Amino acid sequence: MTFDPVALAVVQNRLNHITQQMGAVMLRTARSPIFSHAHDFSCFITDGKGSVVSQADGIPIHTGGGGFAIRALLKQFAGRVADGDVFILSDPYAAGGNHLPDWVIAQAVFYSEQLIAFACNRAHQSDIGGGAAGTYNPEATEIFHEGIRLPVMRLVAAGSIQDDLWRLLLLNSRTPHLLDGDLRAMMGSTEIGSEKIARLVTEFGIEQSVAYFEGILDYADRRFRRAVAELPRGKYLGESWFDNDCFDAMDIAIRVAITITDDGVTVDFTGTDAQIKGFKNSSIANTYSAVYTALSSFFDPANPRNEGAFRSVRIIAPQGSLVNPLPPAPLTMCTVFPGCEIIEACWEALGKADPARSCAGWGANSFPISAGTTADGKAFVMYHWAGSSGGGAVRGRDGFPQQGGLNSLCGLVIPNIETFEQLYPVRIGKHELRCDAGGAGEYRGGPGVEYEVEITRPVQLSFRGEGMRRFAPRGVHGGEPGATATLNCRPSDGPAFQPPAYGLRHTGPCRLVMASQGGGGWGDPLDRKEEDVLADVRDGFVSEDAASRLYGVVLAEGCRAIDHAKTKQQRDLLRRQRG
Amino acid sequence: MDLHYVGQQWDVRVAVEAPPDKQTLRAAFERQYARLYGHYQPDGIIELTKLRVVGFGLLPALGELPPAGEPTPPEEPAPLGAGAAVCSALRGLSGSRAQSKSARQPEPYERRRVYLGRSGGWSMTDIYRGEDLRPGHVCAGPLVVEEATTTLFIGPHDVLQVDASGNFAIDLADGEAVS
Repeated sequence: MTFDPVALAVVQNRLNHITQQMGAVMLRTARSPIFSHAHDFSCFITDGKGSVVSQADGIPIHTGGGGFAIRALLKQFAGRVADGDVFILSDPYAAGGNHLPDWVIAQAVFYSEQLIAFACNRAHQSDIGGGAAGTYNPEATEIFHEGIRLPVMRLVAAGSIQDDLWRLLLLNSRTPHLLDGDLRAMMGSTEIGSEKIARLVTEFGIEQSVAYFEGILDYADRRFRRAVAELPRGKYLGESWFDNDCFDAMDIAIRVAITITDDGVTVDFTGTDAQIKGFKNSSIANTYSAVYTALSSFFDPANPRNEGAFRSVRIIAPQGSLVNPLPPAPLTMCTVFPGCEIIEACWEALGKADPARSCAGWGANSFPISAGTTADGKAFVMYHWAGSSGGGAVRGRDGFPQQGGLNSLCGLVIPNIETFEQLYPVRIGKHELRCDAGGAGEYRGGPGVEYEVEITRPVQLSFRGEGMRRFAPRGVHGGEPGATATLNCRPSDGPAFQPPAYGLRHTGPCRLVMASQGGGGWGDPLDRKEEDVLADVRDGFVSEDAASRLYGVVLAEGCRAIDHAKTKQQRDLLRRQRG
Repeated sequence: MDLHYVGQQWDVRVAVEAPPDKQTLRAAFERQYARLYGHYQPDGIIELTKLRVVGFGLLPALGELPPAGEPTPPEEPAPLGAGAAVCSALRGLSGSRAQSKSARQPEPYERRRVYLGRSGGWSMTDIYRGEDLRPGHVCAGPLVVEEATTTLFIGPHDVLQVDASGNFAIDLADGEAVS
């Protein structure tokens, strides 16, 4: 069947707009700051068979593997999905989930008694029980330590909420007052999404709509194949590393071989280390999401982000490995770590196929989470987003100064610290960009930040210190790596301590002092424009010393001007020293 | 009335004719909320965040504020009716700037190091309190004006003028005037 290309584009954009409207409903009505401030949720739409047709809202690590959830739903409720049904699920082993805190609400959309779509919202809940408040239990060694596991369940049957199930869900959260409103916000978003999808189908007619859904998947497939065909055929290797398993120091590798053939792309994780004791194992849905994120960001950014784009992608993730663990391995950390490491490994491999298009490494977001009770007795969980890291550089652009996570491609928003001071018992002492932390390059890595916060109540701190000691973000194409991170905790009721990479600590009111990672640089620093180096020194991102030593740029007049003659000398000298 | 469920960041506005009872108000809120967002929360705790009142009435013409250093003219008798509160509120807003005593030329209350961009670098700069600036005052930048809710920066070649109503008009050296 052939399609009018204009109508095809209109349908894709309408669907994208619908997911964004669903996102707006969630953003405006949710109760938890993790949604209303940080946007840690994503709305997407699948066709009646569970293929993601639109995922314009939110963050890629949520939605890329969204099809797994809906296909699990369809498998379990085969032939029993009815108009007015809304489902809920989370479990990565049993229900196509990515990790336990991300609950999916999926509303079946019917038209003339035919199942045509699912309107879905995947959202990271404030608390789901388990061994630590706030969903991240760094001491977990089994998924059972991580919170309540949800198989695919019918939460709303023919329009009415299952009250017993509802009470079960609320009872398993430390923050039921938030969960109740948040779940309703999710259901509101899928309700609005369903209405709009139904309206679209009314306009286009049911047969035509279903055909268009198929058409936009086909189009993305063709377009992706064409982008891949521009790369030289071959097998390209990439890898990235952890320096701990959440308990002990050890080197753990993610290894990937990306093979470009005439038929498409094979992404093979054979050789990746076995699943680990701690919660940094990646569910299969998350591994797919991370690979999709790496591919879609490396190739044509205008390609529609639907599941059709990845039909020509074959992913091999050996069972029992870090990227496809067997139950009951814990895995809540996976959307971040190794979500980011999988993307980095794929980027490294793809960069070998086309070095100029290499993406430098992004800083790991290794800020802790604090949980406790406010002075009036309410439970709170605060993510220290303001301690996020710098992004990696690409050809033509410096890395983002600070970013909400490679896994989110900046879809996660770093909330306003002044609002956080209103919401939580904290005072922010410092939030400023680092000096000499972004990897030097023709395009510089993002500097990351210095972040200091005083927590005025006793708290439980949950640490996730990735990239604290080793494995700084890669520099590429001649660029330098970014800086590693540091974190120090100074409790008022005890001695200051260096937190473990992962773990829980209880302290009295305390002060956290952290420096986040800088991103990697792209290209030779000696090729960076002299004026850009001057601007960096004046902005405090690069020191006068580093300007001369790394970039070969010598400044004059108290760092207000460039000494062009000396700069030429210095750059020549540095080039000669390299040989 | 602007209402939301406890914990939310955004309000839903509901029009109310007379002082409503709680049930009527809740029903009106839930109806509007469901229309916008596809759901509502039965028995959810609703917070009133803003009460908006619209009043109609005739106000006396707004006179120009006296220039710097001159006393404020005596208040006109307040008009009767709904406009009275609004009128005296208006006068209260503008009065603070006009009523306090001030010299012909305003004095900066301190001088601080301010970064004036790449060309200007760090430089000692006059800092004024907004309440010290009166109609008719003209000050050449660079300077900073501190108000309770905002801070204004007047660039090195810009000129600040306080107009008759107490507004700050800034003539930009390389662009259009803003106020």
